[in-house]
Amino acid sequence: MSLFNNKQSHGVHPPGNKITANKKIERAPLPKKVILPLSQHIGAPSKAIVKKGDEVKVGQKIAEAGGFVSAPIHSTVSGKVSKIIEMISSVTSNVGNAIVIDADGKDDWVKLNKPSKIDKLSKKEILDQIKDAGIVGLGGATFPTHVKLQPPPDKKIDTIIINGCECEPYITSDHRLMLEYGEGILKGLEIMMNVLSCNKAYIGIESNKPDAIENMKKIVSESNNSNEIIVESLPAQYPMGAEKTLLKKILGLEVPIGGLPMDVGVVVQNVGTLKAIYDAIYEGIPLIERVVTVSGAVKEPKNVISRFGTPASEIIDYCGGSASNADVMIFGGPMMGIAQTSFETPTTKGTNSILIKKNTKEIENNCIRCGTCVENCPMNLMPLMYVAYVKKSMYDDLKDYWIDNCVECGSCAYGCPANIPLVQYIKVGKAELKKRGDN
Amino acid sequence: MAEETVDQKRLVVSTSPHMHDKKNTEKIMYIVCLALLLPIIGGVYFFGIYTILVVLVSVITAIITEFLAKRLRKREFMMDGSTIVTGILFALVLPPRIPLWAVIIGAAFCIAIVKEAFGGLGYNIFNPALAGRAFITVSFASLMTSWIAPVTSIMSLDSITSATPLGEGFSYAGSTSDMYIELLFGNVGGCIGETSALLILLGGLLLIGTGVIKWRIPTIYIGTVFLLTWIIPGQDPVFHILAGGLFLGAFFMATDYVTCPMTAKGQYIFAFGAGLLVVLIRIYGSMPEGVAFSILLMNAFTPLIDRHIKPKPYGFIPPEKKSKFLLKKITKTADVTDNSDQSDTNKKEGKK
Repeated sequence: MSLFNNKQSHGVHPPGNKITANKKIERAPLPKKVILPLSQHIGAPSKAIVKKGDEVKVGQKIAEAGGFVSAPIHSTVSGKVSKIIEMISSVTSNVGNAIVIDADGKDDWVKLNKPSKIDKLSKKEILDQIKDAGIVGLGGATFPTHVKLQPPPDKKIDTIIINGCECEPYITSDHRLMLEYGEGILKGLEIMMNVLSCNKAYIGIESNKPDAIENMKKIVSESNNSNEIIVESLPAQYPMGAEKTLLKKILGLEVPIGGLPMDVGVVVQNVGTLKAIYDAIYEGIPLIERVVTVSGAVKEPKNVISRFGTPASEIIDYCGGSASNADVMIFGGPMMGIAQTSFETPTTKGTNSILIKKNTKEIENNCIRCGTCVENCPMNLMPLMYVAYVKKSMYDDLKDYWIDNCVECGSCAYGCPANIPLVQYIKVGKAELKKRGDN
Repeated sequence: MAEETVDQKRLVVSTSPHMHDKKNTEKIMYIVCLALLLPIIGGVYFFGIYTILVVLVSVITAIITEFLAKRLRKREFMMDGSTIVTGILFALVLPPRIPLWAVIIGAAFCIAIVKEAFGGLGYNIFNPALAGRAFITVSFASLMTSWIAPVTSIMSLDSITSATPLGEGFSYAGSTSDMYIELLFGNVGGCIGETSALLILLGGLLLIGTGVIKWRIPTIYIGTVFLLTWIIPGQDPVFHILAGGLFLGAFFMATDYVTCPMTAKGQYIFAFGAGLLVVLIRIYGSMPEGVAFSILLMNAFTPLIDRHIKPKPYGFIPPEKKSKFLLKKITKTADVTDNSDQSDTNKKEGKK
């Protein structure tokens, strides 16, 4: 009802199932072998700078950024490069190269150059350090952070929004991060505000995490900070953590169709990314590990810090193994996560959760035009029209219904009484339009 | 990957989301059936046990027809409950002493022609129950205009001819408020399931409470009829909303997912149009009752409404504003002597 409240947007309320919310972050054992895909971010794949047989250390750069929108990759174990293989990406399903490293178990480090005087760093130095650390957005989209922090000069950033919503069911990695590493997050935010010359920031957290809200409020009030940082409690509604809905909820602004948050003077960043920025600047640690929530049908659901490239099976084994009838493994949450083909799939920078469950998909029935998808869509679209047009191969008509505006949050398919996999149809439609545009 | 072990567990891969709401078509339809029990009870109470037979025959005919139609169309037959809903609704809009052969013909028409011939569930343009009723009305006009007074006992098969409240020759002996109460409870002549506004309202509230339907269509529909009959001199708005099939139509027929618009705005238009048509037909038309035709006519408009009433997508900038936005950009670069714009331009160029 935008008439009465311009901050309201549609969404759904799936059961939270945050069973790991009270589990302290643990460190998973070091992997015996890591598989590091060269494309772990949005943008050009990185270029390998090691070859088979090379000895590498933890934190050593093994691949360089392959373009402006790209990020380097660092080794997450110390050991020997055993081979470079081709593999299917766990996110995009494209085939790309991956570096396989056999760990020697010594865990020898090389860190980044740690700047001595952090207050005196120039913006460029900070950006270079962030780029060298291979930091990408850890909310799931994995957009290279140094690019996001360099908006074109005509886009003045006046507000930063920190995304601590974690609206996906099951996942608690950001929640635990805010509880256990709140100071690091705030320091990361200060660096970011400095880089963007912006003195106003919001930290948006869903109200189902009162302890995180309280902790962040305490940390913000205790810091002697001249900037305006507001911790905002938001209603628990999926997809609150999608940057466009978050922006609307906090500021009442809408990002123009086809635009980015910076078009309305805002940068949205995930809390995990801030922690990574803090680690890179203050500790000289590149992005080699993250908090992963392991949940669902596993014996002991946990929040673990695990090195990238660890095969999922090793992390699952650490959590007591999966239930015998479980036949689905998802990287990410149940609403937007990607089902994986094998338990051996390695985690990447974007893997915030490993969810094990039993397949519960039901057969698709006829659309009864109930309008639930229209009612649920946070982008105010008519998702059922995409199904109708894709079924009839009328791809050009998809544009009349702004298909590009769809964020694929899955709210439509979640609520569909006829079990229609709307997101699948939408993905087919988008892919077909892209193909046509390319030709 | 080359190194995969042979005895690997096979995983199921599908698109997100991997979670689903508990709601499904079947559940929705059975909730509607449950809500429809109330008007059925009303029908039995006011018009005797025969009406139960009408409902049963209608439902069974509907299911058999659906089964045969699916066989003919080489589609899988599934009991999703929607056929039962159609069967019940069709029975509820028939006169209490309708012969069973007419029920069979009508119910078969509802499913075979109105629903399956158009492609089955979700593809029909018109509400099957109402289209079936219209078909019977046109084919057997005398059957559809013989009304009886409420019976004295449920087991009674009496059929004392009586006028419906909206029909010609209807008069109520008591006070107006007594008449309202009789209309509210349904102790008047009329179709099997339409007379008791109260029971229908309870059923409707159950549907709204369980989230099966939204408040919009019933409220706007009934509200429009009330307001219009209030404005038009010589009409009694309370009488108009309680008499006839308005409540049944508003809560159970106009809200039919398949044949009403999907967007909130579209539903407002649909409900207002239907309300307007009811008043026009009742007061200026040749028929005493207009609910069925008002909904059927608006059903015909639904595809048009859905085509043109789309929700404003997130971040949508209307074309005029966009061109103004562009114009502003152009004038900026053209260095028009506007001070603020000028400085902006300079800044930009300086940065370049």
